[in-house]
Amino acid sequence: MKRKYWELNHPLLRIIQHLAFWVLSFFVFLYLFKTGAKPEKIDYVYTILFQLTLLPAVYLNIELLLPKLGNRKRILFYLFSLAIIIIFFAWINYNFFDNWSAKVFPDYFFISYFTFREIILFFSVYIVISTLLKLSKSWFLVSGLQKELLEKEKQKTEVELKALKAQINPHFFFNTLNSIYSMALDKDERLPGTILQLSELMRYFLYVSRDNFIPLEKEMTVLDNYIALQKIRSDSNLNFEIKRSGDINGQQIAPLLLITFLENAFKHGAKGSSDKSFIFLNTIIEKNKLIFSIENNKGYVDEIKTGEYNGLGLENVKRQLELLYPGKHLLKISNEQNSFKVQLQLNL
Amino acid sequence: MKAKRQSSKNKIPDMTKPIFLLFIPIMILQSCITSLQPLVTKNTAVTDSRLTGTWNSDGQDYTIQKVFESDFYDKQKNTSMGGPPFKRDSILFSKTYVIHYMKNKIKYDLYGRMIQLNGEYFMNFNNAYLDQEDTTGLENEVCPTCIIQTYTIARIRFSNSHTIKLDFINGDFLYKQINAGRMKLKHETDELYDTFLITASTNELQQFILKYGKDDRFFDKENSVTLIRKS
Repeated sequence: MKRKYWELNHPLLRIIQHLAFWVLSFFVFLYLFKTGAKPEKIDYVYTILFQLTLLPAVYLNIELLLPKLGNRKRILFYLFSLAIIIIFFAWINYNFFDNWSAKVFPDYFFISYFTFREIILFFSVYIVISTLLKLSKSWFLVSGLQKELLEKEKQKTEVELKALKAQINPHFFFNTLNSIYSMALDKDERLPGTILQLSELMRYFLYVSRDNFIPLEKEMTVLDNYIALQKIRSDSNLNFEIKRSGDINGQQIAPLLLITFLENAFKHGAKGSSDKSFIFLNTIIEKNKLIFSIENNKGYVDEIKTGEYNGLGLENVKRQLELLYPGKHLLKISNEQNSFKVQLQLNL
Repeated sequence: MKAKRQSSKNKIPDMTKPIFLLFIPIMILQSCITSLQPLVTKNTAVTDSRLTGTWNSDGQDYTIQKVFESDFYDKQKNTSMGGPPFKRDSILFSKTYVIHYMKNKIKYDLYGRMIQLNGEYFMNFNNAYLDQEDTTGLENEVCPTCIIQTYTIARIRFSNSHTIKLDFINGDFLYKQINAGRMKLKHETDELYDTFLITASTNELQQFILKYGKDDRFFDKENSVTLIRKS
């Protein structure tokens, strides 16, 4: 991926940062080392040479030691290696100015103006400063990458949620259209009204449910419409009990979560049962908590229809709950011999 | 050694005397280095028995004695300038020489302390006493302690037990190198008096001598003094 110029780790910006650091450092040294009232030519020469001995120590630390050994497990080895590097280059510095410079630059006269201990201290302080700068820069980079990663995760979640919702819709419509098909075969006079309710639901699925969260009130209205739609085509033996308590105003919920459980109850309970079928629906709102439970009898359809699409809706809801309510939900599914019960607790 | 001396009969305004005295060492050894700090300290001073005696150079006699064995010390003990200062500096003065000579009927006394660096001997010189009539009044000056001693430095080579060569550090060379930006040594210049004073610390001076003590560019050949033992 091509990096932008203003990004911390862009090669060009990195070179500029390093140059700025050394230029600044040069002038600090220059005014620190000057012998007269203002820096002379010899002060410039001396400062450049002094920095040249400091340069390898700093880069060996930040480019080699720190990346390879700068972790908790190797900290002692890192400190030992660092000490060796500091002592070695301090020794180079001391000897260069005290002895070797007379041979390398015979027309320039200078000595080591610091003792060996002072140079070691000097190098140590400089190494600490450059290490801190490196670490703070790394921190900014990591922080940026973390933000980028979080953004990517968020985007991934959005895509996944859209995909999950897209799975729910056909699943729901497939079931409902099956019912409408049966009604059409029976020439049921309630068919036009049913189609109208279905179109209302479709509008909800297509437009309202695009948001991650919608008012709970809206979701409950959809549930009511859906119940009405399903009741039309249910057996007259169906014992449907609905209880709702608490104030739903001002609460938000992820769309299409509850309808999946309801759809599941109607699909497996209300249809095809040889005995008297039942669905018990209970919704409780307590402060910012939603307690939703639905129980239905198990009909013969459950034994007959087995295939890859069975249980797809529930698995889908489970994944949506993980994405939208991580650590904020409790889902309990009880599959008994004669009944199927779902209990969902959500922190809204 | 070239030397200049202001006539004691010249009337100098009282306030200028301390200032004048500060520059005397600079003027005495014009082409030699003048340092604010000494090269030799009590811990680094060394002595050599070959140094003491009476010497001659170009018809000029020089007497070198250890301070505590010198006539100069005996004389000082009996004056107001003797006593406490000598007691306080006894460690230093035990390793100090006094060099006495007379030129143009004027007596000069210099202190000399020697150090061995990188196999060579070096000595720093400073004025011991100015034998001028006016100095008796110096005690009553506004700030007599403001007079700061300065030092000049020479390399000492013993050719044999009868010959000593003194190579003074070439002040002109140092001045030119520093002005050209080729030498890093703390200094001060005074453009008004055209004077030049090395202000580097003793440690820095020693480090410089250690490194460049054998470099002949640092020493003034024309101003070298060869002393031949007389006794």
